[in-house]
Amino acid sequence: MKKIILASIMMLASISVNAADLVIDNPWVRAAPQNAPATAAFMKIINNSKVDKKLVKASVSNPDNYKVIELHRTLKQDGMMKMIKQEFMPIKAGGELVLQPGSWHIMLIQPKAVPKVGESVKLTLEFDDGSKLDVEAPVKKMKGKMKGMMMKHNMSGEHKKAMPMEKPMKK
Amino acid sequence: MKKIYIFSSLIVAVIISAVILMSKLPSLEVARFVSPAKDLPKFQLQQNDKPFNNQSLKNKWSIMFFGYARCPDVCPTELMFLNNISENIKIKMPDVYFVSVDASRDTPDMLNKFTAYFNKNFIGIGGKQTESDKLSSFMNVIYERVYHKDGKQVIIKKNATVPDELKDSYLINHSADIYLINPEGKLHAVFPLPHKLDSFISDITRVVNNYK
Repeated sequence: MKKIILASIMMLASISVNAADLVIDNPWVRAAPQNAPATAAFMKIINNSKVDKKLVKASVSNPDNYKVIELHRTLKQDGMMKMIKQEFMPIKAGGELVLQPGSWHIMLIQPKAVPKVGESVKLTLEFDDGSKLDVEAPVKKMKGKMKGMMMKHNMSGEHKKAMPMEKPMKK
Repeated sequence: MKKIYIFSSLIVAVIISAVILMSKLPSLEVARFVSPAKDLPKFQLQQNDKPFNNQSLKNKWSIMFFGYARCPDVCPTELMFLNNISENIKIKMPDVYFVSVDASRDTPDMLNKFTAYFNKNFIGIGGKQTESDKLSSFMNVIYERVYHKDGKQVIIKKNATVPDELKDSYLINHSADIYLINPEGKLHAVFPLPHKLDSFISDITRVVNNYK
């Protein structure tokens, strides 16, 4: 009996650990002009597990409002800033990935109605281990308090433990 | 004794010239001086329905950035950065000009709505691509039109016609340095990436305060 209790406690514990494997911090969507052809969602994705994870898909609760949702990364290459579509976003075991302006981001492309400040965008993130996370990202107009920390365009968004940059994509 | 005399006058000379040099060119954290400042090539662009040309840049400091109104990430990030500068800078904020490198799509109205969203004083500049190219190539701005195919970027050649299905969606890879034009309308300093609020403000303040 004791063993069963212990086992179930351990099981419960392992479940709760699993549930917190991936944690989303400070999600937000960039406010954009009403005629903007796109806007983007940003956040920090923390991987508390011992396994590398990949964000493979992002979707919204109102897909009809957008032409498509894509994973993107802005990179400095050949003296230019390039926004390159990504198959996935890597979140290294025990590491984190920061989605921020000028770096990794989830593109919300061709919105019929550009989400406004005060509203929020409900996102579902899907990872390569099959897990899903629902995120509610408030729309913000990224103002002065960020003190330029978001402007490091050529910084990779990753934590020091995160995956090294993939090779520049050949055109 | 003579040697000591020569040596000490040499040291004095070095110190004096260093002081003169430093007073002319204050040491900057991130920006690069264009020394001597360079005349811009003659250009004729549009600020809404008004002409925008070399004369428009005289008697005030100006900041120039090159981009396009449909820019999804880099231009909004940089314009918001420049808005942050305007809110934190202690000297008079230079006029900010956002020069389009996408003449075929950027109408004056789109450019104005776009720049005004970040700061109502920011000015969108459009006009003929050949005219904006004069400025951008002078500044060493590089750009290329691209679209995504099979997860990779494909470049649309400079003079190629853009297929209809890509007209709305092509992106532009472009440099994102910020250019400072002095009151004589000359290129005075360049702020390369990455742009950080504190060093940007300290550099621009030093440059402006040390002018003439």
